[in-house]
Amino acid sequence: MNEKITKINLLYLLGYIFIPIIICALGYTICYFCFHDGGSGAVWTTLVPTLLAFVWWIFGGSVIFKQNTKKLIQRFTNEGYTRNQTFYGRGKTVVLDVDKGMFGIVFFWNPFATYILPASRITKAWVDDGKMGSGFMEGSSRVSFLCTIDDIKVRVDTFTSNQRFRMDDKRILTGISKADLMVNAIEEAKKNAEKSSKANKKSK
Amino acid sequence: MSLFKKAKAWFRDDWCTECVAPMEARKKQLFLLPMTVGHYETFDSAGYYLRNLIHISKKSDIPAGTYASRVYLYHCPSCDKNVAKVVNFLPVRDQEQIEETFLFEDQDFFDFVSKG
Repeated sequence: MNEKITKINLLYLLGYIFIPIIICALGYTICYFCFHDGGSGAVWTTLVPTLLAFVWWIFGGSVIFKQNTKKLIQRFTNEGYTRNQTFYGRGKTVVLDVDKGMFGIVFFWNPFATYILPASRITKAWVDDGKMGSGFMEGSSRVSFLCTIDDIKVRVDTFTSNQRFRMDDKRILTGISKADLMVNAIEEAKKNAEKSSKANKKSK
Repeated sequence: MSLFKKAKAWFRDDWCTECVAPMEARKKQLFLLPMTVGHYETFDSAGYYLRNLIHISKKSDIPAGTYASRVYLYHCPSCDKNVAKVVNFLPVRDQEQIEETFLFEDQDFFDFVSKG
């Protein structure tokens, strides 16, 4: 519970990118030396690893992340917490037990570490509506809610697009509403966590 | 009865479609809808709103990310018809994102809003 949050597991990130490349390179080398004239051996050592590498890069990360999201939710429930709020963001999943003041998070680039910590460790939570431009160009392409946990800034997107939308657009308003909802829930959870920690100190 | 009036009654919710005349606005009331952002569902029966609407007095009582309904009650003085107009919306800071509008002629729902 006191573990420090790590958003990116560098070993996993590098392995995710480079292990398929290494396997492909190994396959091409074997093909060059052993199946110079082609044939099924050449297919197995060149085409198959290449295809598998692309499948891995496209789907592997999301499958692992989804599985670990399920694990986080299971762990959260097993530890006796109720999920009052769950937000499946892009690359992050956040769960909250508002009454007990507990916060759970899992990151896409560090999926094997699922964090469940008291919300009192969150120093600040706020909404970023991503507003930019002026006049008729005013709008946003990203809405998110942010929080700092042990001075580490965590951003969870509630809306993203490659286009800029007006601030009164339905998509932007929905994104802001979701972010407001999560920030309010985080702040309430933080208050409850602080209250319970004070009560625990008094009882000791 | 002019064609223009008929068209006006057809497009304006506060006009009686039978008498083709403006109705009296009786009441305007705010309710909380038990749905949160991202989980909006369409319910077009008055029964659902009768069972689920929660009476609130002001807009600031709506928690962030929760839908609300603004109900307008109209009464036609000539044919005695009662109409309730339900506007479902998501309040986002100082703006309102309107989802759907329904017109109900259900007397139970009309009474429920009148009493509330």
